[in-house]
Amino acid sequence: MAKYGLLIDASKCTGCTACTIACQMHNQLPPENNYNRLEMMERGTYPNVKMEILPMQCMHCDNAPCAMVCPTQATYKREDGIVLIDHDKCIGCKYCMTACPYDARQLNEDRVPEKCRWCPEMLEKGEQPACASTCMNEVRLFGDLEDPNSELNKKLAQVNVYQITPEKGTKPRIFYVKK
Amino acid sequence: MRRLFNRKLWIYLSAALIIAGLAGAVNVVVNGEHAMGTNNHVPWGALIAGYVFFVVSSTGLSLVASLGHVFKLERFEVIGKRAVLGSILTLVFGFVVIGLELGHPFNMVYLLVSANLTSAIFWMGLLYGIYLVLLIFELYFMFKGDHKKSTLFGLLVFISAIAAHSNLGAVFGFLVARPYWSGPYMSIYFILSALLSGSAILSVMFYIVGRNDQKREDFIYRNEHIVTSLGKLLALFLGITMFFTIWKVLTGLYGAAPGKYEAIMALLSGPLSARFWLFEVLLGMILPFIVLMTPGGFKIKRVFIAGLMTITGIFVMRLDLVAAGQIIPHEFFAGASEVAYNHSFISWSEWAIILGAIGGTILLYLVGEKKWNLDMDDVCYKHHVRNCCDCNDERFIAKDSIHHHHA
Repeated sequence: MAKYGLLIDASKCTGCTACTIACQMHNQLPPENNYNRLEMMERGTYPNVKMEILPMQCMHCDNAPCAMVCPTQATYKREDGIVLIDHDKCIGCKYCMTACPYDARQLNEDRVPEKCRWCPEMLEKGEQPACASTCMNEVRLFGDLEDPNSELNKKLAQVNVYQITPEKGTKPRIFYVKK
Repeated sequence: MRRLFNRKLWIYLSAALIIAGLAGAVNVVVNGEHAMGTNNHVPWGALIAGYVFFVVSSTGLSLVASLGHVFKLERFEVIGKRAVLGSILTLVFGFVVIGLELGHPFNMVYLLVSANLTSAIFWMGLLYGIYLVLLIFELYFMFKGDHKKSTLFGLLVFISAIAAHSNLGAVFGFLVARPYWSGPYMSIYFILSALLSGSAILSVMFYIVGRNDQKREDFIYRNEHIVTSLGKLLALFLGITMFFTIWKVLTGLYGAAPGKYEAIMALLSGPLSARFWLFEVLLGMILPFIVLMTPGGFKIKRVFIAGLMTITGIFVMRLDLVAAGQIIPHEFFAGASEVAYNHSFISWSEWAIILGAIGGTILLYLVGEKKWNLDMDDVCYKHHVRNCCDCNDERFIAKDSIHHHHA
């Protein structure tokens, strides 16, 4: 059984949002919904300025607070680590939305809090999901954390990484390259 | 039957509120989240606050009622049936409000077949369900005059109320992602604020019920009117609430813990400050405390006014509690210099549903007043004992105990 992970090198991101649009196309989302997004922050004062960009999406946490709080196990974690939602079981209480420290959830038109699925249909075939394959700078790299020879593990051995708000105890599966 | 109060006025008022509530409910059912002031950053809105308001009221009513029929403080025995009936009704209308809030209320059947034991909302459903059933049994045995069983169920209600309600605090307290809520404080605070709600609502209720007959003997115990006694409880719980609020604010400010500090500042000087200072602090705590604690403060009319102010304050307190936990955006970048607040509002439908639920509670309560005798039965008000044989009044003499009793 694979154990999926994702490495994001935010320093390569140009902010073109192709990943967001590719995700919307692949998942057939309406314009107001998107499962990945770019958080942006301006730093400095003109002319010494820069825009910091952070690609964000569901972290598929090992200690996923959304799955822990879901009253009906509508949100569940698969053995490979992917966190999914069973629409039929969701009561629409939005507890997962308040529990997520990453704002990963978005309420869809059916009042189900949806989120990034890491597209298991692609990962299982050994392909990169749309957000990664569409990116001109290869900001994202999905892979199997359990396979020592996976591209992901090779890259992880070369770079220093950090995670977003690990102090919330979520044990996220997304690693970010330290600048 | 004793003429209690102006029934017609209350019926018209509650009918108007219910009609408004139905309109709001239809809008929410048809248009879903678009009819609510919530969004992806603030998923819990006024209906969650409204739900909390109702179930806090329910818990408070039964906790205060337990003073009399569980802990045998004779003074409070008179509030029994009215408080328990009120407790059932506020709980049921709390369920109505949350039922409208939920996207898929009928999927709640999965609470039974696919329960998640680590979810506080699962426990909330289970415990409040048990609590409701126990309350109904308690009221039933009260009506039957079976004091042994009603006391037993009163005790079970007391225990389940504490369990269900502190667990409701944990629904918020378990959320590590929300620093303003996270921790054990919410569970403790919910129990305390239930006692505050309970004494405020009972003060208002018994003032209105006894309004046309201020000398009615069953409300007076050792020369003190029940509303006066409730007013003293209210003053005590107001004092404790102030103490809790002060320490919540000070610990939030001290050391500026990320997320918590900003949420407290949103209450003190940010977008929630008008609500916090004017309604929660001034109207909800300081004014009623002054009204009660100045000379003559426990006169029943002043207790009534203090109770009304407190209930309004508590309602806004619930709105603030839900809003403050979500108003601060999650921080993904280190060293951001300014706080941008998450925006949310209260839609007309949300207001209407809450008001409709209040109307529904009032209307069904009136039905209860009309259909049932909610006064203390078989208790001699003069001697304050059940089945009193010193009285000539037949009402107080139980048929089977006439020969072998005296307390």
